[in-house]
Amino acid sequence: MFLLQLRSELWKLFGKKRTYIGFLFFLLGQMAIVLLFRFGAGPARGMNRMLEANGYVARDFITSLTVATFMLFPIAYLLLPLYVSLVGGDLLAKEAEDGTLRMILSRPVSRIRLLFLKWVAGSLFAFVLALALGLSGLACAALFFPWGGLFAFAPPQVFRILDAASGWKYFLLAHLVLSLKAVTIMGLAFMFSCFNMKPAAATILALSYVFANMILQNIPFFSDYAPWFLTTHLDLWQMVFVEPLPWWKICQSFSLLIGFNTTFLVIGGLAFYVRDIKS
Amino acid sequence: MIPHHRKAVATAALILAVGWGVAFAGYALAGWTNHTLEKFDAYVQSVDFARLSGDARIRAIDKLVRELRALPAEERRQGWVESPWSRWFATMNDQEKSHFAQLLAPDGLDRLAAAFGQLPDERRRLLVRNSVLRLNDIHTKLNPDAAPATGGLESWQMPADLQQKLITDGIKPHYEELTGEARVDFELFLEELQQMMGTTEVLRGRPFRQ
Repeated sequence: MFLLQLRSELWKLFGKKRTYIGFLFFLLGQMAIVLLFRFGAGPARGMNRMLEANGYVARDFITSLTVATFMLFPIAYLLLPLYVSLVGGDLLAKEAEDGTLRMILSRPVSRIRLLFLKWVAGSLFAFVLALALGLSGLACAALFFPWGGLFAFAPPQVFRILDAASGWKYFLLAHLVLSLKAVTIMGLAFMFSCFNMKPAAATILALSYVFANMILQNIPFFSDYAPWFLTTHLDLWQMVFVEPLPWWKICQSFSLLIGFNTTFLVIGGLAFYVRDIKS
Repeated sequence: MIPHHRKAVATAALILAVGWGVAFAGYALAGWTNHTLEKFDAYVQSVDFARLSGDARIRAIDKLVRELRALPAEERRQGWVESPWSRWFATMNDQEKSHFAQLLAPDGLDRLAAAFGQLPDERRRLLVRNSVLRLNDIHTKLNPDAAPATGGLESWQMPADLQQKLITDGIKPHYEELTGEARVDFELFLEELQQMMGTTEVLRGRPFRQ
């Protein structure tokens, strides 16, 4: 029964056009970056210079993997939170706005079950969107750049050079870890959508919370407080490119994100449970 | 508050407490598995290498290198400069020394050597100089009372003729000539060089600053 209901939620979610905005804009954004990098004079020259100044043969590392990886950073910072919170903010608030929530709840399904189903559907969307980000980036880059080694920046100020096989492994791992960021931000927007508010308000509140954290995290004098900001843990996917892989840090952030996700789901669930649904 | 709402709030509080309990337990556990220089030193001190025999010695060497490699870059270099394994080294046979040196060879040594070989002389000179200065800086900080460096690798003052040899002939010929402890010392230099070549600082041609 759970799977049947989940299928119905997924059907509803993927039946909306707005669900595909993220996929579409990722593709457009990545294609624009790839075309600029391929045909623009400046960007490729800059990377060439950087690699060759360090003795590496640029043509071995200006590859589809490298291009897909450097595109990932700005998109994962800005666009990914936008699209997952758009969908997360819609999941319940849109039903309330459209007036379909009362009709759904008049069926023999508990509020908590409905809420959980929607959260699972939203999480699956966020997971697929994060993986699609990587695959579409790689596909766009593969149109103009050959397959080969990976040249990736790993904070702070260190870059990593990897052969194609290892590079692909780390690229995939980065996206798997990135999907946790997507699920968390979706969960945050979903929590707001459980309150009595419009979908757009839920989306904006979630984004405001994420960006406020990002601003605080990036103030140099606040570096001691970094572990207290959500975005510090959301950025754990970047750790994948650090040598040696700091598993302990990844596991720490992962543990705290479990706490954050539980909080978002429980607060949202409680608000939805005690809420008086009138329309 | 309606009674069933009160129950819902209590259940939510309980779930939150359990959720954060699990989260903090995971956080603490992950922190505990963190590799630190203290843990590394403690491991080296805990093993009486001279008393081990056969495969146990090889396993101990393997674990030593694994622990060293798991340290963050900064601590790894510090641990390497400190070389707390000198006591072990004194009782290793040639085969074990060679195994130890082989394990410590930087990943992608061939790629590093090739990349270094592609660089112009001036850039190679800067990289060698910066790597030596940085190691010397770590060494001096760890041994503030030590006598001034006299020119051996052990004090991280690489002789000028060796520096010149590396600049003109590249890394590989010298590396292949070395054995035992000298190779282990040189591998630390290679690790530092690799680190330097992986930063944008040197790309901009900046000299080393203490």
